[in-house]
Amino acid sequence: MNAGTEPSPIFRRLQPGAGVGLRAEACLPLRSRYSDCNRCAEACPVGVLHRNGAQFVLDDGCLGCGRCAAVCPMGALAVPGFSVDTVAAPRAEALAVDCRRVPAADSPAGAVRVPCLGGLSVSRLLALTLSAENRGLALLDRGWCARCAAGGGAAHPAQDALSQARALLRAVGVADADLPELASRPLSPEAAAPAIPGPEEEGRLSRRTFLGQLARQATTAVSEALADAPEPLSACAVPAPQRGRQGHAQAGRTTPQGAGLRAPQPSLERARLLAVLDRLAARNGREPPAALFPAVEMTSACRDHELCARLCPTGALHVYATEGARGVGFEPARCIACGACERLCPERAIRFHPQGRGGRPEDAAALTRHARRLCAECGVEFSAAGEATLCGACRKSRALVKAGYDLRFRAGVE
Amino acid sequence: MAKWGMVIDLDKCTGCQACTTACAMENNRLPGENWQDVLFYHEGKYPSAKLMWFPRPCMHCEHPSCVDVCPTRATYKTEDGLVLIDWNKCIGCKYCMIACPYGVRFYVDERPLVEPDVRGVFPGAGRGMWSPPYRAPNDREDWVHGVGIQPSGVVSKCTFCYHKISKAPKGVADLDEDIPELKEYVPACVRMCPPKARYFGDLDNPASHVNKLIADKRGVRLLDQTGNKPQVYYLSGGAGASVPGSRAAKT
Repeated sequence: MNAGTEPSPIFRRLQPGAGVGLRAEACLPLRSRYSDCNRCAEACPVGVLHRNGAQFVLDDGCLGCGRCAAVCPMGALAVPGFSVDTVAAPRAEALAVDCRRVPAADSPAGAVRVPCLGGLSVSRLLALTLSAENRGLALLDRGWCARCAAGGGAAHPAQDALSQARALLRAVGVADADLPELASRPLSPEAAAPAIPGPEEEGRLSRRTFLGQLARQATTAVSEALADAPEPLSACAVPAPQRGRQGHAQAGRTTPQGAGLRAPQPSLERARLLAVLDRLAARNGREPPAALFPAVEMTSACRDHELCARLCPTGALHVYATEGARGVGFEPARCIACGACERLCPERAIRFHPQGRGGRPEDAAALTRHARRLCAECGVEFSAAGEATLCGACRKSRALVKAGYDLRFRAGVE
Repeated sequence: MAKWGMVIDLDKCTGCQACTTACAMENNRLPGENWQDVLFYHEGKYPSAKLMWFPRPCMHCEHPSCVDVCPTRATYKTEDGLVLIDWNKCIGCKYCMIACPYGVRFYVDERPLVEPDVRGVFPGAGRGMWSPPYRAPNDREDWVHGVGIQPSGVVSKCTFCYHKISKAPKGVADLDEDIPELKEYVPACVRMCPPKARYFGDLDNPASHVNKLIADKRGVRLLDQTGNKPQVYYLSGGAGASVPGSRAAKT
C-alpha cells in the first residue's frame, strides 16, 4: 500500500465474489441527479451491470473483462488484472499486450496479459506506452474477438481507446513507430480458454489479493498524479466565511455516504492520463494538447450561489475567498468535462466548452469575483449584485410579507 | 393516506410569536433560526407608516421546487404530503434554499448568531450542532425525516412536527388541540397559537374542518404563480376594508 498523504481510495465489490469494485462516492450519477452518465452499463458486453436508482446491480454472468471500468470518466470502477507495474525488462521488439484467454504458452515472452484488451482505458494504454520505453506497443489481435462474449461487434474492443490514445500520443510528439497498434497474430479459436481466466488461474494474483490489487492500481495513479500535478488553487480556497466553531469540516458528523458525496473526488482516470501525458510531453519538449483542458465561461447572470462549485464532482470548480470578495475558480486539469455545472446553474450563467477554447489555459483561474456586503436586514455577508442591500433570503421574505399584506388589506387599498 | 395541510387565519393572527417559540422549544432550534417564524416589516414614515407581519411555516408544497432540484434526492415528498429532508443524504449544497420561493429552509453553519454563540455555551455532543438546555427527548433524533437537533453541514426545515403527527390515529380529518384524545398529535405551532389562528387537518378529506375553512373563507395560497401549490392556506376576510380610506396604506 502507498503510504502517501492522500488516503487511498476504497473500492467495494459490487456483490460478494464479484470481479468489479466500485468507489461509490466517485460515481457521477450516484453523487448527483445532474449526471446521466451510464457509460459503464452501456459498455458492458453482456448487459449484467445496471444502475437502479442509487444502487448498482451486478447480475450473474460478469466476465471480468473490465470494459465498464475502462470507460468510467472518474475511475470509479476497478477490475483486477489491469495493473501495469509489472512490465518485463526492455527487449528489442514491441511490448506485447495479450488477452488472458490465450494460453500462457502462446503469449510472447514478457507480454503483459490482461483479462481483455477492451478493458484497457486510454490512460492505461498511455501508461503502457510510456513503460514500453520507445519500443512501441503491440495489442495482439488473435482474430476471435468478434466471437468472444467480451468482444462482439465489428470493431475490435480496444479500438475506441486505441484511437484516442494514438491521437493524444501524436499530439505530444510520440513518433509513429512508437504508437500503440493492433497487431494481427491469429490463433485458432480452439486454443482459447473457454472464459476469461480468473486471477487465481492466471497465477500472478490470488483471490486474496483482489482488494490489494485494486487499491494498488488506484494509489499508483494518485501518487503519479500528485507527483506531477501543479499545486491546486483549491488548496488556498476558504470553504466559507464565518464558519461556526463546529463547521462540518471538523465535526465529522455525517454518515459515510453524506461525507463521501460532500467532498470532491479527483478522477483517477484523468489524473493517470495527465500524469503520463505530461511526462511524455516534457520528454519531447511539447505541451499536452489544449483540447484536453475544458473551459468554463461565466456570464454576468451569475449570482454567486456557488452551486457549481459545491456540486462539481472533481473539485475543478471551487470557491475562493479574498479580502472583501469571493467567487468561483476553475482548475482545468481536474475537469472531466461532465458538463454538470452548465446543466445545474439556476441562473443559466455558465457556458461550458468541453474541448477548451484553444490554447492551454491557466492552471487555475478565477472565473467570477463578487464584492461582499452585509445585508441591511439580517447582517449576513452576501455577494452583492448591483446596488442590492438585502441578501437573497431577506428579499424573499420581504416579497412574501408584501404578498401577505396585499392579501390581508386588498379591500383597503385604493 | 392523508394530505396534511395548514390553514392560518390572518385576521386572527396577532403576531405574538407564540408559534415561533413553540417551534423553537419543540424542535431544539438555535436562537433566531426557527423553522416557523413571524416576519415583521414596516414601510414608510408616520403618519402613513405601515407595519406588516406574516406567519411563515414551510408550505409543504404539492409541487415542491426544492425536491425537484435536490442533487442527492435527500429532500422528498412523503405519502402524507409532507416535504422532509433525509439528513443522512443531505450534502448541504443549498440548492433547495435557492429554489424555495418561500425561504423556509435553514442552513445555520455559517450564519452569525446572536452573541454569545450558544453553540459554544452548550456545545453539541458529537454530531448535533449544540445541546440545548431544554432538550427534547432523545427519541426525537430521526435523521431520515429531518427530526432532532440539526447536525452541522445539512439543511433543515419545518416537518409539520412529523414526530407528532405521524403517531396520530389513521383517518382523522383534523388534528385539533380541542379534541382531548388528539391534542398530543397537533403540531406545536398550531397547539400553542393563543388566538387559535391556525388549523391543521387532512386536505384530502372533504369533511375536514380545514377544507371547510378554505371553502367558506376563500383560503388563498401565496405566490401561487410559482406553481408550487402550497398546502398552507391563508384566510383573510379583507379586514383592511374597515381602515378609513384616508389612513389606508398606499402601495
